[in-house]
Formats: sequence, structure tokens, C-alpha cells
Amino acid sequence: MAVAGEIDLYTAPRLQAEFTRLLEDGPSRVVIDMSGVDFCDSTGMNVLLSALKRLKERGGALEVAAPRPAVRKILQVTGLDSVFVVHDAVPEEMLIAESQG
Amino acid sequence: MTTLRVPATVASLATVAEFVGRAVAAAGLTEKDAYRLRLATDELVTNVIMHGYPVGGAEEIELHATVGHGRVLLLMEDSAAEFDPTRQQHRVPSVDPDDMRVGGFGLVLARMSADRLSYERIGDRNRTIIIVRRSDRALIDHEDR
Repeated sequence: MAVAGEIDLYTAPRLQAEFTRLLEDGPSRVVIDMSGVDFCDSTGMNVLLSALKRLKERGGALEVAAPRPAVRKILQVTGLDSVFVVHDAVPEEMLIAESQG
Repeated sequence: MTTLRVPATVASLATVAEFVGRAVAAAGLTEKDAYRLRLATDELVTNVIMHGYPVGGAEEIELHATVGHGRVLLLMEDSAAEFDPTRQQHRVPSVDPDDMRVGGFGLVLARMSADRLSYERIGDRNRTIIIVRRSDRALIDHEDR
């Protein structure tokens, strides 16, 4: 799943809705490509946490990939980088999976 | 000094971001400093929208930007219930992986992003001042205050 643009109180509900739709398909592992996110506030972090919580309840995992430096810094100072698995880049196996549809 | 007056609604956040962006450009702040000011302002405005006013009210938030060389002073005024963001929780909330409590990061991020954050209550108005100086430091690289 790729997210782009700005995540704040105004846009967060759209992200929340996308997660809800995605999780209906029952994936056990979700990797979010955040390379296109140029602004994210605490509302965005809360959406990610909420999605992680729902995934963990079913034994799944939510991982964050390729956050820009400012977003990565927020993950660090909030301690969320120890809650999410954070990848420097989108894992190769996910790119293959995505290209295969 | 430039002023922006917007309804205290989520739809105003984009307008606030544009207003902050103009002040940042006028002050010649770096990209990192600009992000800090944007984040601090966004979190404080969001807090007023979410918790300051009764739902459905026709309330407003005012922002006044004063630009100096390499510095932006942003004064946020609102008529919500008295609320001092500098006196709230100072520590980053811990997230228990087994029982993830969602929320509690906003004011901490605002405080950590601003070079200075101060508050006063004048009459029925909250007045919160955010100062960000050009430093090109990483987004937040100092201890929680």
C-alpha cells in the first residue's frame, strides 16, 4: 500500500477508510510505502497505530517503508519506530508481490 | 505582521499550512525549520479544533505571523476554554505493544518542534506563541521540554 501527500486531521479519515477496506481482505502483513508522504502529524501516526492494533489482534503485522527524514524523525521521537518495523526502502519481496498483482 | 482568521474546522488546516508556508518563505527558513513550524502549528490548531470548541460551533482561530530575519513568530488566538499547551504532559507517551493506546502525541510534538512555545490567557482569549528560528537542525533533536 502506497501513501502520498499530506496526512493531517483533514486527510486522515481517507487513510483510515483505505485501511478498513484493505483489512477486509484479511492480509496478515501490510507494508506501507511512505516515500510519497511529505507531511505527517500525530493524527497520521494515530491512524497507523490503530491499523497496527487491528492487525495484531489477528496475528498480523504492519510495517512502514521508506519514510522521508522528517517523518522518520517523528517515528523516532515518539518511540513508534520500535513499535513498527521500519524499512529504509520498500522490501523487494513486496515489490515483486505487487507487480504480480 | 500578517493575519489569518479561519473557522475552527478541519477544512481550515490546508489554509493554515499555506499561511505558514508564506511566513516561512518570507523569513528564509530552511526546509527542516519549515517542517518544524508547520508541525507545531498544525498540532496546536488541531488541538483547538478537536478539543477547544463545542462540536458544531461557529468559532474561529486567528493566526498572526511576524517575520524577522531568519525567524517566525506565530501568535495563535482562540476563544476556546482556557488551555495552556505548555503545561500539559511533557513526556512522549509510551506505547505498550500489547495494549496500544492511540493518541497523546500532538502536544508533545508541538513542544518539541518549536524553538519556543509560550502561552497567556488574556480576557477570554487563549494566546499561544510559537517561535521557530533558522537553524537547519533536524526536525526534533533536543530533549523533550
